[in-house]
Amino acid sequence: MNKQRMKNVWVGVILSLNLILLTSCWSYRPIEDVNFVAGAALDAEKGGKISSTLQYVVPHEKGGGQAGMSGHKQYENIKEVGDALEPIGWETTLKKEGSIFGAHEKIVVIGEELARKIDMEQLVDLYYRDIDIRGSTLVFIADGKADKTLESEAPDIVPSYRINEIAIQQLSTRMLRQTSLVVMLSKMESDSSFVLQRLTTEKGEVKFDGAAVIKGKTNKLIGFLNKKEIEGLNLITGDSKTGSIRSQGKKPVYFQIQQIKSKITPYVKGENISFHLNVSIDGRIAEDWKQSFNLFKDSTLKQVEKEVEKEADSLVEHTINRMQDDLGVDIAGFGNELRIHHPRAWQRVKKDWDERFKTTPVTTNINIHITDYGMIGERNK
Amino acid sequence: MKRRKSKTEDQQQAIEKEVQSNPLNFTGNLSIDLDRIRSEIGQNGDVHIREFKIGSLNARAALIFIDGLADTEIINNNILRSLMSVDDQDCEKNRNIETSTRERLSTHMLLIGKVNETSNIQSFDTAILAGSAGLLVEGTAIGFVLDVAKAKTRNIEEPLSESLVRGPRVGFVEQLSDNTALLRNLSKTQDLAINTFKVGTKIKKDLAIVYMRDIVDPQLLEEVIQRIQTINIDNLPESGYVEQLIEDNQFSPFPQIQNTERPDRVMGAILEGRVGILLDGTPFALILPVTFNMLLQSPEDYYERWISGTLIRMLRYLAAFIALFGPSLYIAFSSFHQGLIPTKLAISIAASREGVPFPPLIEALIMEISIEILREAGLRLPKPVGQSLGIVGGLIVGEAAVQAGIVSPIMVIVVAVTAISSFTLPHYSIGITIRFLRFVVMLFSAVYGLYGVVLFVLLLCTHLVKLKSFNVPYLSPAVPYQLSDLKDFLIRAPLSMMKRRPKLMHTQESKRK
Repeated sequence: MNKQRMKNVWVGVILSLNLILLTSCWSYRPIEDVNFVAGAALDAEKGGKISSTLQYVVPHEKGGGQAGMSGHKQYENIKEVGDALEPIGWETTLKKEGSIFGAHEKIVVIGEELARKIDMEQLVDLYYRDIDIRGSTLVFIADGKADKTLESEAPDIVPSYRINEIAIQQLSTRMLRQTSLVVMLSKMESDSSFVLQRLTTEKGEVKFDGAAVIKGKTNKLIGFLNKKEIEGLNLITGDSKTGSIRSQGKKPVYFQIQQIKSKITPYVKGENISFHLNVSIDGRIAEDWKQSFNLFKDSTLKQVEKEVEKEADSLVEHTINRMQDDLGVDIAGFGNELRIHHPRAWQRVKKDWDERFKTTPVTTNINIHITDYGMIGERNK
Repeated sequence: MKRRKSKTEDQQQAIEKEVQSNPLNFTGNLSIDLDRIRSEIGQNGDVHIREFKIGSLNARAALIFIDGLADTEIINNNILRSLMSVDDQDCEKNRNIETSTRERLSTHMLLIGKVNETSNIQSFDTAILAGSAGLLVEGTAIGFVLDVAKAKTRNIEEPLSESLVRGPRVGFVEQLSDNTALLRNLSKTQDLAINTFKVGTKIKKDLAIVYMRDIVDPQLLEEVIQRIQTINIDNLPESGYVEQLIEDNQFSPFPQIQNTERPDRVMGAILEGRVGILLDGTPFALILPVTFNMLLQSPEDYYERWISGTLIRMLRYLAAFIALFGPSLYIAFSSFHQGLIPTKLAISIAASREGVPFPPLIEALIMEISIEILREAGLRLPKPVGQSLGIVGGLIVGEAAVQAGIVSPIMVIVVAVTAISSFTLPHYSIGITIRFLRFVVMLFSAVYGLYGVVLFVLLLCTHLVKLKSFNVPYLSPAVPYQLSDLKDFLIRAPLSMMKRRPKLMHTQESKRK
């Protein structure tokens, strides 16, 4: 009995030792030997080829006491050309030591030309298959060449991370909500159209400017929205945290948005589908350029609210017109509301929803509510 | 005269017979007995044999004692003075009858508290070696053991190994009688039982089991006594010997018996139905059975209010976790799972490791081993030197190692936090266990990363779940689950809620009155 037990113990010990000795630090990869990819840029090249620019973080030890400024360039961009992303990746390892490590990749920027030419789902296929790259990686469309956006003159900055941080903050209604790889995949898989944030480069520095519209059917870029149109879009979706609306009139009053509640209600009558959009916005008077103005009076307040409402209404109207008449896509989620509330009707129309949306009537009702006007109600001249 | 002579001859024969038949007993013949004692212990320089005549009995007698152990003042004033003084009236009265000699000695002449009689030379000798004085009287086949032992004791001081901010400043000392007195002092109840045993085959030592007669589980008590009786070793210099000889699993890294210098801790434990063991010659008492959570508790948890007690206790659990897993998690994250670290931290770790020549495991081992060496060195040195060693070792060597690029600054932080966390553990022995296991889990994580850490946790859990201390599961009340006992586990519930003694102890009396 005891002998048998000892034998068992020895077998156990030998097996456990094998477990350790045979594997010997399997998948061991010290942190200083991996190349953190911060972001990637995809561009179209001559001859139908693709170029991929990988931005590597070059960690420098921060100089002590100098507020984290080392004055070193914190990144290194490596560009390679190929017909797919995988061979390009391998090609870059010939240029720089260390393995590519995508877990800290934050952004993918796609050049305009490439986005117009190639199916987006096909283009970012690798990003969904690579287990390191996170689904939360954000996707952008660059105006012109994408690799320009990954450059910066300023020291101590990794451009990809800066873009990522600006995108996440989304402070103003003039900027679109960020789109991650996962969100984009769900849109592409359901054939719905969507918008991505658009980046431009100005004097070597990157700037957020408008949005790129991707058509669900083809997954290709079909056009851009400017900042004003994005304001309208944000009011429709209620996707924004803050921002301001100018009241209509010669001299403006600026209304600062504090909360947007928007509700899209689909109506189905037989074959007819219509939508009603109800937006209520709470906010405060931020700046007043009208001289004779008594905000202590309820009627004045009402009047300002009206003026702001008018402006908001025109913003929304403009964006809806742009979607329906110009681009011919639904990017504000009208179809999604229909799917939720009238699934049967949706089944009938989902096949060519974008076409159908062009002619679908949308009525709007916008409510502005001023909660606060600061410390000055009335101003003596 | 004739009659007496013949009696002496008879006696002589009887004595010879007795010496042959029972060599361990006194004969009653002083010179023979003294010779035997001389041959057994008398050759030692510290054994004094004082021969004299008892004045009132007119009998030869000898007093044997050990220099330094016996109190010579008591011997001079309370024994020799009264024995040697001559009182003729008494002399005549009680000359011949042996019993009356014994009686007279103990009733009239020996002016001390504790007088034992023995007829066995062996036990007579051991008593003398323990500090008593031995008295032999001609014609009496009995040795008197006079308790004149000088108490070799020190003052009661605050225990060094378990100091508290709030709580009694009392610690056990080396003298068993002082320790039992301390416990008696804490609970003046007749239910406090103190059973003493003799342990050790060559050097017999007193060992006391303390428990509450009306609370303790009789089965537990039986088990403890049985295990103590199986102790078979020549000497027990410290209670650690007892611990190692009666514990359940000697191959486990975890202590299965708690040691403490604090009487209040022992008292608290025995009121929960546990058993305390005190050994003569050491200030460390043992408490058993013990569960894992007891080793992370401090009496202060109970002395402070329950909110702060709970918070501090949770902090201690957290500290134990860091002390055990700190370096291994660093190794796992920095060399296997860089994707799990927040981006900015990952980059700054990568920057700090830039140029460090060793892989994280070696780096961690260098730092951990040197900090263990520092700790061990500081422990052995006199206090003022130990402190400056800490400064030299911790600050200068650490800083220099970073400057020289041998280790990364983040590693220094990890090791320092780990070391500080391990100091919060209220028990030295569980601290050693965790220090040891830390190295094991570092190896695991260096081979497998987080997966290895998880493997280690699984191994640890299987071991802990199996482990028992005197038939009480080590992880109870968590495993096996005992809801009512959880009030004193991770949290420390208000005292008014803890009205019952722990169920896992199977106490006779479950309610605290």
